[in-house]
Amino acid sequence: MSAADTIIHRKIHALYSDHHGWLVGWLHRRLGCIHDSNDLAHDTFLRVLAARTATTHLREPRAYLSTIAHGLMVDHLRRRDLERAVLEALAALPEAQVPSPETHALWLETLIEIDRMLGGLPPRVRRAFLLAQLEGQSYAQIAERLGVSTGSVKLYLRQALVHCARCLG
Amino acid sequence: MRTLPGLKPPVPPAAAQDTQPAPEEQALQEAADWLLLLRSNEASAAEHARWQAWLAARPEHARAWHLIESVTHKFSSVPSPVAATALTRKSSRRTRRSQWLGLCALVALGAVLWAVVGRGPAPVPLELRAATGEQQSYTLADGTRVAVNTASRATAHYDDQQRLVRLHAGELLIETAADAAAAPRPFVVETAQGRVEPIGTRFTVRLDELASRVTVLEGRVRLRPAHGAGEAAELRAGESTAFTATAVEPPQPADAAAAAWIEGLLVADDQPLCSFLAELNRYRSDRLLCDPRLKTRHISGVYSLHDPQQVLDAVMQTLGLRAERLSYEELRVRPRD
Repeated sequence: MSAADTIIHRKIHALYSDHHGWLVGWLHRRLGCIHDSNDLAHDTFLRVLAARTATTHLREPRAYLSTIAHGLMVDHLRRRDLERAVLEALAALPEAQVPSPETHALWLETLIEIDRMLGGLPPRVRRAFLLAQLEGQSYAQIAERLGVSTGSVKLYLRQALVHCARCLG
Repeated sequence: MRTLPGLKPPVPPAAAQDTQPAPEEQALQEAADWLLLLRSNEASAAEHARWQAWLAARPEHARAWHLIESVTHKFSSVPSPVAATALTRKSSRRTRRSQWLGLCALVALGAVLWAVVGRGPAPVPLELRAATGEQQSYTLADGTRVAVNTASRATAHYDDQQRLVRLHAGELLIETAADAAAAPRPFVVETAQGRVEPIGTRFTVRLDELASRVTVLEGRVRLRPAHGAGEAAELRAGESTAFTATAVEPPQPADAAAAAWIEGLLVADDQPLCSFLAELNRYRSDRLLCDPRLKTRHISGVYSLHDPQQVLDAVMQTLGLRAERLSYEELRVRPRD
């Protein structure tokens, strides 16, 4: 470990002991669940550790921590929503098609990845893309559903494909 | 903004978020076009052959095709009913909000019923709205035209006394028509801060957090803050101002770009980068945060609102920036270290 590393570690340690309790409280007030709050506070400090250099000149450590924690909290809530929605969808499946826990977990991870890819798309583009991918609708059908021309639908789908490919690449 | 020869303005070729060079981007676009053509089942044998030739022509074509295909594979690895339920879900936060809205609507309905007892039913207001990233236009009963910008909502309440448009969120461009009624009714736009009364005109009204901003493109407009004292302020063509519930700022020359959204354009003329990004946020479903180190940077350029992500990519490429994803909903734009 270099001298610089040692200094950074000492700073992060100080950050942790000064603000960890406050952060758990901050998250608890927003999430209402102390268990999740502890987990997310832990993840927040992992992020800080991973970012290392950014912590050396912190003027407002709590603002910095709460920004990261807020991002993680939003992720957490979205993930929880997605998990719930997947469970609902599974409950509607015929018994023979209910997947093993491993498959279930794989589906969930894939859906989280897809959901993340779609995050930067305008809502209408996202909708067109989902209609094409999930319902296999033709361009003309999608155009009718969205009230746009088939030319626009093709542009939307192309935009979505390229955007998602960039995320994967 | 740089424009490269042989490429279509107004948006230069977008680089991917980090350092992907432009040819890769070009290959991705082409790969997407091929996939769409092949999937439409309209491709002829000759087109199949051309696609094969394209694939073999360059290594980056094959790479791009592989990436585009892997996007569709992601989707096919989950049964579509499950994926459809999960990906089109409403988030619990939104659901909670809509429950609140439901409750508010009920309270509002109560208030309306209270108000109309003994007066006969009031006409149902017309909803004018556009979702994030969209724009809509409406023609009202008197011929007045209203263009609704991204993430905006308004209601039109016409009766025999007045032509009232209430702006609840976002931005409108209004082109008023002369009232054909026997006794011409005044036209009024109402915001949380007060009233905007146009006199035969074309203007925009935008509701920000604390103020309403009005820009007059043609004609004149009178502004009356809800709790203002004294006379209404008057704004002429080519002027712009903001007002709160109590006061009107002195008029300023209108920013030529203020109504560019009507043409589907976002125009920046030496604009602070952070304010440009805030503007771009109105068209995105996630949020861009501006790194404090970018406070002093400025930007000029004309961008198409058709693809907000491409605008961001172009800006980042021009200014040497990168985006760091903090979460699903937040991206921080920062200098490339």
